Amino acid sequence: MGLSFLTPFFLAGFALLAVPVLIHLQRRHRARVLAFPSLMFLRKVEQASVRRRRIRHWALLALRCLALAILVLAFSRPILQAGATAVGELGEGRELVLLLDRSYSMGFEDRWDRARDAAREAINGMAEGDVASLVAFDEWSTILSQPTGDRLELEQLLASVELSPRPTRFAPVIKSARKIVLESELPHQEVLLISDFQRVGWDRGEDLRLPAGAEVRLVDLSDRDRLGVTPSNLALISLILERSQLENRERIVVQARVSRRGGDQEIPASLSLSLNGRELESLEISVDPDSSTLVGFEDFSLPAGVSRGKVRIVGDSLAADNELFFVLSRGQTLPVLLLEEPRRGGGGSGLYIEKALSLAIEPMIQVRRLRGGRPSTEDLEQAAVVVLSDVELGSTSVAAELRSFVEEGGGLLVALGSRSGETHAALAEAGLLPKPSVGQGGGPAMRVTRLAFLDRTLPGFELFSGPRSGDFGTARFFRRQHLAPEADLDRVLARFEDGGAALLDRKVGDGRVMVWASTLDTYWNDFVLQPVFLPFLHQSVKNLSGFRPPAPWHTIGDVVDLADLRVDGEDQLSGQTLEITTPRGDEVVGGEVLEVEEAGFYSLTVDEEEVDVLAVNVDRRESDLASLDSEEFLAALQSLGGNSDAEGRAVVRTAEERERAQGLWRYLALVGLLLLVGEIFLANRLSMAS
Amino acid sequence: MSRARVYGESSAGSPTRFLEPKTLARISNLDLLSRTVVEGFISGLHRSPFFGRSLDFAEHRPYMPGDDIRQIDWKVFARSDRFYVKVFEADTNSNCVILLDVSRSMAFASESISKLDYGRYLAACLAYFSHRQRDRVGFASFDNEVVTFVPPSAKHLEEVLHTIDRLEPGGAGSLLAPLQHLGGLLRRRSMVILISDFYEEPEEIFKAVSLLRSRGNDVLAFHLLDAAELRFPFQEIAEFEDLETETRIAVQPELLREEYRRLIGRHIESLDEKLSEAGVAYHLFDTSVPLDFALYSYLSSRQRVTRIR
Repeated sequence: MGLSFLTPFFLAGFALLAVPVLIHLQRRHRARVLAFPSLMFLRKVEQASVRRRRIRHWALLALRCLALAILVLAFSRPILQAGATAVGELGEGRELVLLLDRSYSMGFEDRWDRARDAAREAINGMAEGDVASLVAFDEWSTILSQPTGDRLELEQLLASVELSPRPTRFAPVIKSARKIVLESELPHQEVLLISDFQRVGWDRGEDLRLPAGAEVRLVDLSDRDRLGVTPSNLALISLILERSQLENRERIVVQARVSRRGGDQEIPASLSLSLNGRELESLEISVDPDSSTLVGFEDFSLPAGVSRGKVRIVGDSLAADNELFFVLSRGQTLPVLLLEEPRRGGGGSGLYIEKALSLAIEPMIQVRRLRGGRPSTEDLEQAAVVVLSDVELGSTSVAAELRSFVEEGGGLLVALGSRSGETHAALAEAGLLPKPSVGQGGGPAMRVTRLAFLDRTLPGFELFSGPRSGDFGTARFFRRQHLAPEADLDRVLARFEDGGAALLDRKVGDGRVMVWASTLDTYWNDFVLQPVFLPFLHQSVKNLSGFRPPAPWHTIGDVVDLADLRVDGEDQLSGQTLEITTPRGDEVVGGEVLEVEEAGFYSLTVDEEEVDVLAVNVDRRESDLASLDSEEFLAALQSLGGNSDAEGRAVVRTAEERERAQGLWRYLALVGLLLLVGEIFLANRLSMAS
Repeated sequence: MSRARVYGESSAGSPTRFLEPKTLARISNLDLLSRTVVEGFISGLHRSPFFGRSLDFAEHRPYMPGDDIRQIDWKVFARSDRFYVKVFEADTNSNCVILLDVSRSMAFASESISKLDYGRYLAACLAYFSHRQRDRVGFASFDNEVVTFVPPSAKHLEEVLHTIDRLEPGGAGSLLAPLQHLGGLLRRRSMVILISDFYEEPEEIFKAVSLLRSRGNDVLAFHLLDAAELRFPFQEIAEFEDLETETRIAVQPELLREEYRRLIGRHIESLDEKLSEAGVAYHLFDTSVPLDFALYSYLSSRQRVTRIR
């Protein structure tokens, strides 16, 4: 005979039982105060009278409590489960759903051992006729076994469960448990959730309701009650990798951000940096509770090839977030072909461009200046980006070659000036630029103006969207060419104050073309003298070249696009088999994408030659060991789930059976009311008697 | 000795303000004043305990050397051939001192009038009558110490009444210390009328009153109790708060009414017995009984006793 409740929160009404008791006591304390000359005679008889009064009211008190208790039971809508079904129709026993948290925070101290002990104890506690399902979860839920009564099998499965490097998320596993419970035909369902109940595992918006009638038990391993505070945990949150050039050698400065959550005392720890298995430096650190610090290491020279780096904390209980892996390789060099015209004074029209691009670090940009001549096919093949700085191409065939260059993925930046009229027409003829438009007066615009708009949504231009991150309005433009963007082809990235286009972007084939309506030297404007010129030019060239900086690390769960892997700018993977060696040493054949599932280094090889290395780290959200309020969580699990109950069990219970099982409340309510009538009668009798 | 009990039901409405003519008129109907002419004092009220010169013959006694020969009763000498002198009850004004308990318990009132008010009316009446008898009237109030004291004097009636009019309930009460103090203040033997609710053990009261008696004072004890104190008519469960100590006791009255009545009855009997032993006239006043009625009852009984003597 199982008893469960449709509206179990009404059981909180049992607290109302205190009311009659309080009323009886209150009547004593709140009795009218009567002044009396002397208690000289009353004192001699007072004790006996009080004692008799208490005893006399026990019956009334008991009657009131009983009436209340029965009414509370009635409102809780009890369900007699055995009575709701014919004996043997659904079978006997219990459906046990074991939910075992294996997220990496369970590796803290002895939590994992205690979790498995709790699961083992639950398995051993199964009675004849009970069945159990084992579900392991981290951010995903894995049903390891279908309902079975074989305890040996369950224990073997339990022994095979290992800690996962993923974080906690409760919603998927509760969904799994819900499915198992709803499919169960046993009269009693119990969900046992073994976890450290991290706060990060539950987004309050997620639905965690379990079907009504399922009993829920929580095994809380967070030790919050025992410790009183969140356990202390140090974690490596991120790294800042800064590159610099020193005597043609690339040097790296690593800064590690270490955070500490929980705890209330100072804990010393050490932090070490190693590269390719060799420890470079070790530092002693101390982090205050619930704070973070940035620790800087000495710079080091980056060797050739791909280097595996690791920063590690020694002296912390949770090992998974104590290591942060990263990969570094020498920076790529981006070849840029700069075509320019001589200017008065000996300098060329590409002087400022060359100087600006030569300062780029990631990637470094190698500029090749070509003055007054047409680029050869070889020049174009070696360049990733071609910049035309107010040049006169002199031949339409060059425009065609440039179109081919762009279609194959190259980038073209055109700065228009006094000499570029024919060039503009030729490039427009080749479909690379919009056709020249004639402004007022037939020539370039002479009116001084400024930039009024910049489209900061372009990749690379986001960095100008922050406050004080680039004031384009300070530059003055004395002359400019008129641009007439074609609606379907050109995207206006910048405009002058009068609305005229200042910068256009056009995609041609696999490459891009950007055209700047004025010069990129001091002839027609002073833009090149403004601080924003340098980042503007860098970002424009990066954008045109399609450059994407390699990620120093990935997070477990990321999906890496292997088709994009490039080593030294070449696509090494086309038509060849990519073999991947996981951090554990397993070898798999790579496809187009790879979901990284282990922390450490993934080695990617082609024909036994390593072409790339991926560093993978655990998700740092799990580092916060702060736990949920277990009562709130339990309330979320047990909140009313009537609809789902109806959906899931319609196959095994008819409406009449459900009604019969739930009809007990009517009888209880009737009994409660009768008792209240009796209470009125008894109270009146007592009152009259006294 | 008087055994007058005034346990009767309230019969004539509330007691009135002291010195109200109606109250005094009913007392006057007893012809008290005419009796004082005969007996030397307002016989119904008090009788001088002292011998002295007056028109009231008391007794004969043998002549002793030193006696004034003018006091020799020559008629007796003629009949008996022995010298006897006439002894008269003193006709000089005596002291009458009224002691009123103003402890906090006297403030209790189950109806409209408190014991203290009742005591004040009573004290005022007695002072007035004493003054009418040309006694020297004094007054003292006390709780656990003497609060006010007006020395006995023939001219102090107004001051006494003024003092009585301004009495306020004091603190906890006790008889021994204030009576000991007052005993020292009363230089002449006096008639002392002690008005109190006597919430002390009878032995303690006896000890305190004996201090006055031992100095030759004639003491009258007027015991004031409210009807509620006598009958304990309460019904509801309540916390009873001691007016003097402010301690509280939860009580269900119906369960202890009989026991309470038995205890206070025994207390009254014990007081009566003990005070009688000390030669103190004891009289119980129920404050629900009109003041004039109580005075009338008391004076009537007093008068009967005087006649018997």
